[in-house]
Amino acid sequence: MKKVLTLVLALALLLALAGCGGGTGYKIGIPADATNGARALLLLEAQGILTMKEGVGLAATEQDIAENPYNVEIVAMEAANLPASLPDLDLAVINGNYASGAGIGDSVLVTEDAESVAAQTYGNILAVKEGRENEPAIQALLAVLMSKDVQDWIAANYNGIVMPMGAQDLTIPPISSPVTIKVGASPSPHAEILEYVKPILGQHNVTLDIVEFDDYVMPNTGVEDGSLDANYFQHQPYLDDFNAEQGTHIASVGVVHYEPMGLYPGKTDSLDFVK
Amino acid sequence: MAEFFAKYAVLLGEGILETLYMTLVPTLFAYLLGLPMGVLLTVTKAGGIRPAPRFNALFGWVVNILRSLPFMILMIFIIPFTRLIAGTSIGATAACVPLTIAAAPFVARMVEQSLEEIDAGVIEAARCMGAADLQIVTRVLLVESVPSLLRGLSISTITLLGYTAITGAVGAGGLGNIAFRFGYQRYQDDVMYVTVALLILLVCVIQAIFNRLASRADKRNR
Repeated sequence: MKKVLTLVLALALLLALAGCGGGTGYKIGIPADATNGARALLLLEAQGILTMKEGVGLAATEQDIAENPYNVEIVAMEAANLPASLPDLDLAVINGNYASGAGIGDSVLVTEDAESVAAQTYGNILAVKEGRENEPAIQALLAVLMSKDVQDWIAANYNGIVMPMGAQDLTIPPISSPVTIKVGASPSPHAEILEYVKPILGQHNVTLDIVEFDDYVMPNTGVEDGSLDANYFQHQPYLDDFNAEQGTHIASVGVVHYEPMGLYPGKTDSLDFVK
Repeated sequence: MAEFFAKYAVLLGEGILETLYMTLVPTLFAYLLGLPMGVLLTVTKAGGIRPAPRFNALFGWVVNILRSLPFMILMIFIIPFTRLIAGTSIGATAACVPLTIAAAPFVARMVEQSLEEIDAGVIEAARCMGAADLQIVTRVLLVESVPSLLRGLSISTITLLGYTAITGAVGAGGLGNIAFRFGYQRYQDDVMYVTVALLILLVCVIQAIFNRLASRADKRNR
């Protein structure tokens, strides 16, 4: 009996000592959930910190690291907990909203750029019912959303948490008689962006009626049954899932903005170690 | 099968070690804290060997408050303290700090319950033979309740094993975290089944060891 207890204690001590070891390289925190974790790894790859196996894309986990030249140790943890853990990490990849909430938004070293797979995939889209993509009022809305004016406004107003996909010079079709379009949107930033768009669109004979939604189902069912003309709150993978599950026919007209992840400094305050 | 293990053997092996580490080390420290707490709760109770009802009520409240904190919140809340003790707030070693603090009041209640089972007549007899209060605690209460304490230890250990699934939030790893991240979030059912099977095995082994120890320590079985 005493022997067994001693054995258990010895085992616990041994494990304690084993736990004290650990990597000597840079510790980099990433979110533990599937898509954010993969996006974080792709951002680290884009910075040349590590390379991922071919073709893993947005399914990547730390198991898929191909080369790790700087011997970094990836610590996957709760996304919301990353800012508080920065003092114990060298660097961390954090979602803009959490970084901003923790008041460290300004210290960001790099963010995902608009060309990255993550931005292209998870960019927020303007969506309508299939077949209505080319209606003049919808095209006018898209053209204004993608105009340099609006895209610059997005870049200037969200402190890097919401980033424009980049201005496109689309033509606004002439609309002779006034029309009203009803667009469902999430309160922030989508409805705020639409509020900025509203007066500009008014000059082109289109009245924008913005309907705010706190949930992610109603704006799609509204577009499907025609009570909304368009919506602006979701990304393409979410819409694809929704269409598949609900049997709806909603299509994207264009990608307007994305909400990037950034690399934030902890104990290491620059990326100078990457040659 | 071979392909599965080639891919996940290292991950699962690390997971087992991390889980054992985060279970055994906090259990040890939780008992170092919780055992005296449980004794204190028992002896200061009205009708105990050193009654102090007001202190008992106050201390009981402290234990209740600590027990009512959701573990996830406790873990985030005490990050500065964790950093002070463990030198870091992330990883398995850091996770041992909140695990210990969460488990200690639980252990105190388990110990209290075990000590309560001791027949008042036994304590009376010891007192008649001139035993001091401290001697009653160390020679009677704690000795007589060993089988029950061991059964309590098995419950505490397995409860802590359950908590380790949550410590993935501070990057501590462990089997529960692997089941959640790879099995649930990424729909890799094979990983989930294997981790859950490993966890069942761990729990069964722990329970079997303590059952054996408890029955050997139980006088009624001799």
